[in-house]
Amino acid sequence: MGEQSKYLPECPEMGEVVRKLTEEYGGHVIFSRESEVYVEVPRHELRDVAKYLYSSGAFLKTCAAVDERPLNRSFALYHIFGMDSKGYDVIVKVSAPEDDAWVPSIVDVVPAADWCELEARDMVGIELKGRRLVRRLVLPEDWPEDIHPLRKEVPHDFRPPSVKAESEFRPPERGIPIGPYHPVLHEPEYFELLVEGETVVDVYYRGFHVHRGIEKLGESPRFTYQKIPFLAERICGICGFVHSTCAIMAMEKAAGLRPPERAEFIRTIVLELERIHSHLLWVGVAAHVLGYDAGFMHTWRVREPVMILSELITGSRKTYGLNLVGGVRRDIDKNKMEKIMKTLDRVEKEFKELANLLVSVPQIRRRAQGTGVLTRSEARALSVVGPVARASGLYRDVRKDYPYLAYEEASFKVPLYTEGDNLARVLVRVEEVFESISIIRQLLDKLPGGPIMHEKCSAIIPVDELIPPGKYAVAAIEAPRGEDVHFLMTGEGRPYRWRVRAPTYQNIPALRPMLRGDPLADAPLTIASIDPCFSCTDRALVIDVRTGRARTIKLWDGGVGTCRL
Amino acid sequence: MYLEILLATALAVAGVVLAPIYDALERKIKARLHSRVGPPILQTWYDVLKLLAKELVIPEGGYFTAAIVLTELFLSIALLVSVSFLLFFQSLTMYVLVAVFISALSAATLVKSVTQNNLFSVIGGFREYSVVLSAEPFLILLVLLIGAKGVSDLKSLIGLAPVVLTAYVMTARIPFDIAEAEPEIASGIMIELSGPLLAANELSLLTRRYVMAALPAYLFLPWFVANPLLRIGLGLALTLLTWVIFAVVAVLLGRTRAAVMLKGTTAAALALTLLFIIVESVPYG
Amino acid sequence: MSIMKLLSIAARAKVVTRRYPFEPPVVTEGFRGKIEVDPKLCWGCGVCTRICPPNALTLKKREDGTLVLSYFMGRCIFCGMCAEVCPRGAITVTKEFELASLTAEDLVRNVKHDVVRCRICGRVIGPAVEMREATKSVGGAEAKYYDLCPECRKLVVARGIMTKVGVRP
Repeated sequence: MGEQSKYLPECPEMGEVVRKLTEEYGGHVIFSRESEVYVEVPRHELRDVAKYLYSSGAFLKTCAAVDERPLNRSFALYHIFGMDSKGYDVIVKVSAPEDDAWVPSIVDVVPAADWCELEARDMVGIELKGRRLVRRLVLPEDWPEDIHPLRKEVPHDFRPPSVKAESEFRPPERGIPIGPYHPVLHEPEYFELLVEGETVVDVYYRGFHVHRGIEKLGESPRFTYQKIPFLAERICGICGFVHSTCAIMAMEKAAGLRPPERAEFIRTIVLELERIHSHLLWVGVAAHVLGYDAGFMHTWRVREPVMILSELITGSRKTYGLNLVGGVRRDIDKNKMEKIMKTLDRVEKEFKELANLLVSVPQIRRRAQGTGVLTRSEARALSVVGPVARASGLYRDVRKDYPYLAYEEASFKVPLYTEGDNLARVLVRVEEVFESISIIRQLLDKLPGGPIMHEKCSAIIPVDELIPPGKYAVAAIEAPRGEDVHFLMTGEGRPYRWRVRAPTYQNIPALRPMLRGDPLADAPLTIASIDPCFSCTDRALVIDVRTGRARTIKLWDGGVGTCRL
Repeated sequence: MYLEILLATALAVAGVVLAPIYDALERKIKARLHSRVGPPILQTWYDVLKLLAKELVIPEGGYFTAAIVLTELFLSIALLVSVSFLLFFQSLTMYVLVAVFISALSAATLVKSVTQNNLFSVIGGFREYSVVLSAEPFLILLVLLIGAKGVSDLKSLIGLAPVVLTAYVMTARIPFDIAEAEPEIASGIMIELSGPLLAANELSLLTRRYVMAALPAYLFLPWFVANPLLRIGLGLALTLLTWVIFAVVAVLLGRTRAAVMLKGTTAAALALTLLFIIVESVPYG
Repeated sequence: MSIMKLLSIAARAKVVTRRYPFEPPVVTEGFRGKIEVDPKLCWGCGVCTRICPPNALTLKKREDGTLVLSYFMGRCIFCGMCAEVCPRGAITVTKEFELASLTAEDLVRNVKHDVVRCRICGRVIGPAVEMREATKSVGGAEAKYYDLCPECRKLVVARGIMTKVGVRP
């Protein structure tokens, strides 16, 4: 946290922020907890509040739109600001009456709010005042104009008739299409690269092809709190455990219960195992994108024991099914501990050798160095997360900034690079693998005894009674790709609103500054370098870049960077 | 004379049959270096036969592309035949013929890529162009030089270096496979091809690879080994050896970038070719 | 040449892929595959169907008067929650995962249960085994009501009381 302050203003204390918001901006606290404070402010003050928070060192985690008409005849938008250097969240709520449903846009002061504002407009139908570029982000073009899926009157299995829409999205003449189906994208997504010769001059993005309506499903009567971890786990095929743990952490916060220490340790160990396998997977894919298939195959060979280990500990190679509200379902015994230690030793030794080999391959070094550069100010303005932020000199890591589970029990370094290029992103991830190995070793060493499930919870007891309606919770976890945020508003026996913000959601907007000016040959690597996970990002429906020709606008008031939107 | 013609033809036929087998061997070597089991030794033949059994789909770009693909196959076999004849006939005409076929084959590949109505293919075509530019002129120059003057001295073997380098580039292996570059431009020049046309394309690529593996040996052997049967034996053995070396090199490297490649390879090929010319001209100068 | 290190890495690693499906797959002892329901132990109570996150287990009433616990592997996420909650221990998690099939019916396993109908109104009350076992533990005077549905039971009991106190129903 100390390192961050070198670049950013130190965040004010929570009391100071609350005083300022209530006294100067006419807000009132609606709910607070140790590390979260929920303040409702009048909507005309939102822009000033956002400006104040963002300039005092806060990052924007995301915003969540909620249809609160059944409760108070209005819509609400919750902006979640993370005070990284002080480790608490400020959630700023603005309400909009149902017959006058608009909120002011803050995208010109907080560029990172771009996507989540558009999503609020698509999914809940809140209009954004003062926004220059308003377009559909999540909903497909043939979706009816007046149907907003996350409004309460829309059933979760509703399929509207498709309307004929004149596509405003026209591929530019010289555009090189990457997607929706392309060898480098393992999921459907669409990038259109404008090139001059072999140089990329601009990028169009359109995503959300794999939207599955998971948030809506979580609010439907089909699900109960204890089933949601299994649903959350299916948001992502790589970091599923992150989502299940994060959803559970939000539910446990809302219930005010803390799982036994041993369960927290086991969750942390599995989270770090997941980071190891995810980073190894990514390093392999990066090698493949650069045509070095030997690196790809061997990285995955080294990764395989981690997968086998996950299966041994949890019962499955992926989608572990280990988590329940209140604890975990399987213990780690002596025998398993030994196997973990042995596997980690082997992975550490083999990956060290392999990582050295990879960076020595001339084509890899030459093509990764200096390409896909994201400057620190661009990274800051867009509130990017995870290895992408840390490769651009932003010291951000949820494990350090907002310690959760058993992370305070382990000492570890957060690798930081300032180059902001593809090579830096490779190196950050390579180093993180070794840090994760060390974390697991320390935690196994300290693994406390005791039960693995909270006394009030079990597989058979419905936890619905433990989680009262009308509570709020924000949980964040450092996923392999960066900060994963779950926002929960509880209802009767199931979430009233469950908002998931995956790390890729925050990082894709950064691809534009990264790709521009680079050789076409390196574009796939740059796209791959944020380790995009479209399933995570799309959990909530198609981005449609309808902005026409690019023009330069200022990124944010601080004037640190500019970004063509 | 007739015997030699017969032998050369047999050698060419053997090349067509062997090329897919060597390719499967290459896949096997690659697999071993990847710690994988790998495919059986006839896999590439199985692939080609399977593709031939599929329905014929005329790609976007029409019959012209289809015709060019077949022309390419014809040219690559013609090149193989002419190179096989080099082992027995060392007249300048033979060498000129080889040079012409090399050049014609590259031209066909280029035409193939730009006739397809597909962006990826066109990009692949431009990349192919840069690959060809960086190696082919030197290879042709070397073939003609050896044909015109012959080589007899051991020191002439220095010429092997530029021949092997340019031959490697012409095989379109990693790092020079940028014209298809699967993760970048989705198989580039081959994107519109399928079924029998893809099989024909595959066969011509493999035949070309066989020629490039054979070329270093076939260019130099006749000047050093008198016995024709020994020439054949050594020729076949060295071709296999070169193919294996090429296969291993391709595993060790990553894919390059078009701009980087043009400069690097051209410089290396130019330097080595000049060195050969200087070495060759010393006794006379 | 540091890139040559690959050769030594490959030499030490040897061949790690397997000739699957000609060699058996490797699964650890922790692995969870499809489940098996023991029809002899199952009572048809349906607790598993309520906990099942993807609704792979369902309890269906058939026209022919049977109750079917249906397991559809196509939906199963192999979490094993059903086995954990089954009060009868009738569900076991196996290590089998090669479930591919050309017909969807192959992915369904049904456990049929006869049902007990109300002796008066004929409505289905519950699975026969569960009812039988349940009455065993109840015994006594209650046992004679076991083949009545809750509504009819109320009526019968009320009628009994009324007769006893001499009020005409």
